[in-house]
Amino acid sequence: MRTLRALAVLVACGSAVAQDDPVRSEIARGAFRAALTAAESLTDDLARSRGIVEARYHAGDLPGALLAARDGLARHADDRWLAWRRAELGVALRSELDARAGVEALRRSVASAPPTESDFWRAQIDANAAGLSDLERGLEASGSARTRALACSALVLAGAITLAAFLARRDRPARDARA
Amino acid sequence: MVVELAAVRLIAPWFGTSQTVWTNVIGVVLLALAVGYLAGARLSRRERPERALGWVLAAAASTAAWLPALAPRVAGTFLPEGLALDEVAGLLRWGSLATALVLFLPPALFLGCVSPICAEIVERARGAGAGSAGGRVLCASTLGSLVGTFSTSYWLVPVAGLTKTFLAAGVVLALLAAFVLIASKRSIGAGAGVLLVAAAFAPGEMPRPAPKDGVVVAARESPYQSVRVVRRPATDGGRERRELQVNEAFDSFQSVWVPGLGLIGDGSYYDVFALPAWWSERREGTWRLCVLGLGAGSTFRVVEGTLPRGMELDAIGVEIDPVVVELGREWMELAPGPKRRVLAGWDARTALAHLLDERFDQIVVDAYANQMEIPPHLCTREFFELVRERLVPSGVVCVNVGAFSLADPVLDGVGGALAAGMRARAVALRVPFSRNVVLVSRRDGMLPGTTDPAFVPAESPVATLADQLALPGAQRAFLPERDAVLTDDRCDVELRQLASIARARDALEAPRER
Repeated sequence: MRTLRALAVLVACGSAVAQDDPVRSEIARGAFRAALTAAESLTDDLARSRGIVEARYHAGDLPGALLAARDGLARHADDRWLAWRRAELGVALRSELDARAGVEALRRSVASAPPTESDFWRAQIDANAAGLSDLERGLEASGSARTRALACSALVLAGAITLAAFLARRDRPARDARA
Repeated sequence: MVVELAAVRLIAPWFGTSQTVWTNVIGVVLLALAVGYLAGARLSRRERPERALGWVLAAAASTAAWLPALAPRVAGTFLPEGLALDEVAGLLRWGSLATALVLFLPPALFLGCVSPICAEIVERARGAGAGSAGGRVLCASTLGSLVGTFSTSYWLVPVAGLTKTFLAAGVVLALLAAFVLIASKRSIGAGAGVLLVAAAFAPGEMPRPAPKDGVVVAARESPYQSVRVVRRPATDGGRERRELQVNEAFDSFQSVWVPGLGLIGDGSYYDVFALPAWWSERREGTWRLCVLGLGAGSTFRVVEGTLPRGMELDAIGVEIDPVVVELGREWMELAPGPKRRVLAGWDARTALAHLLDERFDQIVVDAYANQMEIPPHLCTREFFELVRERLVPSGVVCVNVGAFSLADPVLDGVGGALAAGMRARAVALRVPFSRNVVLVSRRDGMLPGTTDPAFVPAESPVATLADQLALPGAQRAFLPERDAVLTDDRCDVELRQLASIARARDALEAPRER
């Protein structure tokens, strides 16, 4: 929840850069449906993909934006902007697959970035790689904790049942002897 | 019973108090008692069963008294801090089982030994036969459990707190152990030793999981839960935030306060509750609002600050936990007043059925916690039929539900029940920048569709939010003719919760409704 809230603040601050003017102007006035309509009407496939992602991203429909970014990146694998969004949204929505794919695609495509943009993209790679590491740590910790819990439960339950069986078995002859 | 009842509360800060957790704890205690009975039967055949009884009580005392000190370490092993809800969700079932086994099996096993040994002692002393001795011991044991049950829920935990409750249980058991050992004559030294150990029982206050990026400014135990207020200072031009958390080990909260009335922003689902007043045909008069699960009053502040200019708010809130209301008054400006009535200590459904005979323009159901703690009687068709009766014809109900996607099984069940109970279409609106979904339905079925211009009231403080909610693919409709809905007779919400958790990781793959 806190990750999503942080992203909400980021979006509200306007840190994301829209690439298509009609989409950007609708987003700027808070008309997200109109922005989506404008994006969907774009003829250029890459611009349309970016516009849909941007409209959904700013509207707070993060799963929708991620699916659109994933879809767009499948057709435009070398697009830095879509890769960036996929990485960022993958981290925010705790989707390891998307975060990793986004970061890797961003790394691949940053070499062809203009020198004036390289610092910006490197910063995005670093930020999202750190987010991905954090996500992987969380998943690993969660997986390890689950394994520990299962192993411990099985061990203690087996011990308790064995003890019960032992106590029940030893009790019977003694009672018979007493009788 | 003291240990058993307080056990769930002890691990609640990590695992919550869902039916899964209760089931695990009760199951572990029953298993331990079963093994304990067998062990006690064996110990009872000793030459001096009194001494065995003394040592068993001493062992139970030590294991019970140290539970508050051990709980954070054990629970932390099976539920590491800093995980997100979808990572935590899969751990709740197995983590709580493992924690319960490690923490509660030993004391419950030792306590299980007590009854058979006591029965043997009574039989030997009175020669009254096994049945008579067993009956007397079981009677005493059950009466003790009765006292333990009521004293734990109504006095020990809320007044003394969890640490002192377990400490008290340990001290009472240690005193009994010392008495039994001393009474068995040759064990005076052992009895004194047990008392010395008992005197050393002084574990400090049980540490709670620390909040991320915030400071705990108030923390209390209530008859229902552990409650705390966390303050997060303003950063980067933002506003200070205060969050009310209950039993929390992960990143969620039950109420939130920011300075000033009106929208909270940043993915807050409370903001969606501001919409129905703007969907109303009226623009003046009194807006009668009822909040079931008021918490610390966040909904009051949001709706009051966003009503159309000519409208005045007349609100009533129902909150089962009076301690939550107290903290709301102290830390979240939940001010009392004739038009801000609060029914504290009441269950939402009971209050709606028996205390509230007026009709409301809007009823908000905000009584579900953490996706895992949905009271079954607050999500059935019959409950929503009652909600419908308490609404004016144009009245709107809003239900906050945590969901991993719009195809979430929990949302599916609650949405179906809502539509059936309201006898009208219900719509699930995904809250922007959030994992929450707000279900809405209008009694007369005239809820504006997301493509209807009335859905996004222009020139209103909620216009941007409404536009976000109306985005294609961000909502799902439920129709009243659905067959499989949650009812009072058959409410499988717990199974749906487990299915929801199991599918959480796949939520992004789920088909999106258009």
